[in-house]
Amino acid sequence: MKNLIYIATIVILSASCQKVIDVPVNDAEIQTVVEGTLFDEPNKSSVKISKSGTVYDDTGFPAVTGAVVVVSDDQGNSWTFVEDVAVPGMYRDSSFVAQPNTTYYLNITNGDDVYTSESATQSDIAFDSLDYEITVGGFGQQSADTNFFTFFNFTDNGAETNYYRAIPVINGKRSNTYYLSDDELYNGGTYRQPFFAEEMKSGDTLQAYLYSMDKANYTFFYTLSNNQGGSPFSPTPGNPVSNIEGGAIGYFGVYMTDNDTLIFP
Amino acid sequence: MNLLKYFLFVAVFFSTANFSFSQEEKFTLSGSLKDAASGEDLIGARLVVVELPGTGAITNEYGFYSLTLPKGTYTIQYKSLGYEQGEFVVELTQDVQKNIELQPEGRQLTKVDVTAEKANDNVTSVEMGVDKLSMSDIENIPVLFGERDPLKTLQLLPGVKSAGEGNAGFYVRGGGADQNLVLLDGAPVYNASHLLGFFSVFNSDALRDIKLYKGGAPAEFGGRLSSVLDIRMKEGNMKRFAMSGGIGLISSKLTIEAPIVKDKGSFIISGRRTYADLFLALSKDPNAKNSTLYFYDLNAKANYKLGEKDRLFISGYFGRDNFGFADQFGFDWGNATGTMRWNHIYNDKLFGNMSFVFSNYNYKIKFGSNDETFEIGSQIQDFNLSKTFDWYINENHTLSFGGNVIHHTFKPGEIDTGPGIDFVLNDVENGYSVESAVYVSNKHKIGKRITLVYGVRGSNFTQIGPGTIYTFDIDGNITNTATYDDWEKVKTYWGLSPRFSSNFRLDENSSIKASYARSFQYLHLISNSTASSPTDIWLPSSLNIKPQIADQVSIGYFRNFFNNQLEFSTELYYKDMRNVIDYRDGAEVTLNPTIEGELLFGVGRAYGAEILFRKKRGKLTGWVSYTLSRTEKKFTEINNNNWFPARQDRTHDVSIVGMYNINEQFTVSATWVYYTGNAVTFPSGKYEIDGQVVNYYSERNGYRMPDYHRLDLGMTFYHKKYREVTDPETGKVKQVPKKWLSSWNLSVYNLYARENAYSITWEENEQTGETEAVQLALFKIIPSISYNFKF
Repeated sequence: MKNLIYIATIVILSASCQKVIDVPVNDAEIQTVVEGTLFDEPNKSSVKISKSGTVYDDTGFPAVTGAVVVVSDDQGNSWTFVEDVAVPGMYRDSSFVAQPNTTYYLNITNGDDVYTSESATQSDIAFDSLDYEITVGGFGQQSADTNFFTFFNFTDNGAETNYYRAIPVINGKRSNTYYLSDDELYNGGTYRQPFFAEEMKSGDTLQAYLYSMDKANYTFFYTLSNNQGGSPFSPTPGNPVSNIEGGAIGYFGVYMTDNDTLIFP
Repeated sequence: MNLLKYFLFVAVFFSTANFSFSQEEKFTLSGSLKDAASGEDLIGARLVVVELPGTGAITNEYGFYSLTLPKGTYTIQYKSLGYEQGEFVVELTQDVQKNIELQPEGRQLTKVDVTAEKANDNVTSVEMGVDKLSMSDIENIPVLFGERDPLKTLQLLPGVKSAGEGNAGFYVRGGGADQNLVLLDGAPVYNASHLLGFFSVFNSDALRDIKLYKGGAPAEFGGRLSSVLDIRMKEGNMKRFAMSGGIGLISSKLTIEAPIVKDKGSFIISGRRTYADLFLALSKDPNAKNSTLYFYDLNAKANYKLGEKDRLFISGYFGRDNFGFADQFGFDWGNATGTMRWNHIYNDKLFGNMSFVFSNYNYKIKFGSNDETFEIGSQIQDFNLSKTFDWYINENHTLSFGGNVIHHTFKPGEIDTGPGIDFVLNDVENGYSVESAVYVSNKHKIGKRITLVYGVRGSNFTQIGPGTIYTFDIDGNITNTATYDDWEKVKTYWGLSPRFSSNFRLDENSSIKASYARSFQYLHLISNSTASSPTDIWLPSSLNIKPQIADQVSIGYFRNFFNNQLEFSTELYYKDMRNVIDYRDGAEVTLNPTIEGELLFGVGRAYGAEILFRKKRGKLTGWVSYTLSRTEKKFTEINNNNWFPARQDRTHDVSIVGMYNINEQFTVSATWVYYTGNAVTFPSGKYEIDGQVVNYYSERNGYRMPDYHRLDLGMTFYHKKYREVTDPETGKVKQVPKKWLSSWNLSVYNLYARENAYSITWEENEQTGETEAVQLALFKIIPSISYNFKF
């Protein structure tokens, strides 16, 4: 919706001008950032721990090394994630595979600091299909340009409340647009949504990922997508709602996933 | 219904109190005042009894007056700004009815001053916190794209702030844009803006009278915390066919008016349409050709006198914005209102009004083409029945009382899919409620110095079925779900709003005024974005949303200098607000059936000082206004429960408006505005997550946008209003008014090209990776031209 309104404004903003200005800001206290992403496939799960920086500092974000990272589940299993020698602050366990309908617990010990979180999976999820409509021309396009307006389709499980995120990767480049959806309006039905912000041309390869997640992760990504703010049509910017306890920011999520590939003719 | 009994008691008390001291024989003089040229009612015209200094009457919104005097013979003078003064002698040995037509003053034929008031009216009237606009102010003050706009002109007055660059939305005394009750002929207009806020829905050609109550609104009005904007449409020329119109840079408009039966009934129809999209039609690109981007307004009104005592009005507004791209995407939104009103003069002292009002606001968004379409819509719809009375008891007491019942329907999300879409999306459930109110208010003159207006308004708001009603815990999770039947009561709120205002005249030229008002707001605009958006939705008070409540006290000093040439006023106000609404971080506002769980409730306070110097007469007219103010909010869940500045908190706000009549044919005008930048949230850190660098925020609205200032210039050239004819017999040159009157209007918006920040976004530089603050500025030196005519 925001994008649509944005298009409408462009017309009015034709007389506008943009420039970089100098805005002095305060420096907030440095935060510990946890990003734990666990998947239903081996070799993919990791927990990344880093530090935040100040607004105008572009020297990168320091890694938090030497932490003890343990993931456990409600069945009594536990995995110790070990720091990647090549990537400081990145903790992995190649054997971890998330199971459906299971609750997982994260426990991080870094010196005196202990950060915890939990995340639950639901039933497995799969794309029904990816398909497209061919559009010729388009807003801001040459009239001869051909675009593939691509939709993803899946069937929701009516017995649970589900939250989804779809991620399109076009020619190996991951999109920055968040395609988030909950089943409040289509519980138990089939769902079809376009990757409306993507431009796909003849010969492009689309890899699409579908994640099923819990409410806390959905809220995190939803609030993250509103993080930048500043546009007249965006809400007052705020920090994404974290599910990490113990003073760190970030999120911990365990996802049931599916992926599908489409090559445009 | 205890409240009703209370009102009846109050009404009876006042009436008996009055009859008890009316001992000598009295008679009533009543009637109406009209413009002799057009037959339009004159609002606020004055009648003065020469023999009894300090005694008089003012006409109401329908030009009606009533004056009760002891038996005797009196000379009555009547006057109204812009009209020739007149007088008549009346022998009051029985009740007398007298209708008067006033001739427009000599050379002011083209300018109809709507605020027809006595020179020192600002000092003598009991009203405070009231801004009135005359149509000639609106005509001459330069505006963006030359599109005359009453709402933008209002923003130049103290205590009224613009919602942003070029925006028709406004904030009054620290209240939100949704806390203004905008009434067009008594019908609420739920979204008063076109084109994302850059234009208001009010076509100035169709309007007659505009009044903004910033505080101490009469008990007749309720339902919003901050202000009441009471706009009345023209009624149509009772004497002859007349037409007026204008051709502008972005829109054109045309108004026709004529009597239905001369002096008995008339009608007016006024339309306006923008034509940016007509240029798109010239494009070779088939998609651009099929795209639309325009808005239009249609105002219509008719009135008819059924007899000496009855008059019927029917008026309506319909306006819509249309935005569409090829056949893939469409977005349109708009208001429709309708008012049917019946004026009845029960007797020479009692004037009554019955109205039936309809209002609807809706938007529709459509995606896809052919069969594969997907449509999202939302709407709010009202039916309102009201009855009001003005009872001119005697020269010291005027009692107003009445009541109304509104039925609201809320459709927050209607979803339609085309036949080619094979999955089903559920609508968001409709909501229903009934809002009712009764009020009584007395205007009481005590001696020559003191006037009091005191009253009370009682209101009730009931959320009713059918529907599924959710209950939420403190974190916004659903704790209970209940189903209700048709008309079944879900939740009821009562509100008792005392209103009081007073005027103490120090002398002929100065007065002190004080007022207090409590108000309740039962409808809440859900919008988590900074700008006004057509997709903002209205939600009713419910099990989960309590009514917003505000108490406002204000005190003012009014003084006129140089024989009422220069008006000065200053007002101080303090407003305390409860149950004001904000949102959880990242709240989902559109198509969310459990949206009530995303809301946060807190308190607010606003206080400030307003100063106005105004020159109303002479070659140079205009005003200087200054507001010093503060507006803050506090929520348990936001900013660690500390007070933080509201977005519309602006410390300083200055407007300077000048209009200079060089001669009969040439007027120049200029405005300069300055205000402190809005409070905004900027990042205080950043971090990396989900493959991108994001901002870290430490305080809500802890920063300021850069200061805003701008100079606009306008020029109006009138063609000669008179033909000069030499009388063949006497040889004298006579001036004969022309029938066709026209003018050119030139204006320049933001003359010195100030780059005022519309938004500041934080972006990573693609080359260096450094974080930068990027400012977007909208309009620099926008010239415009328009041509207006009337005959």
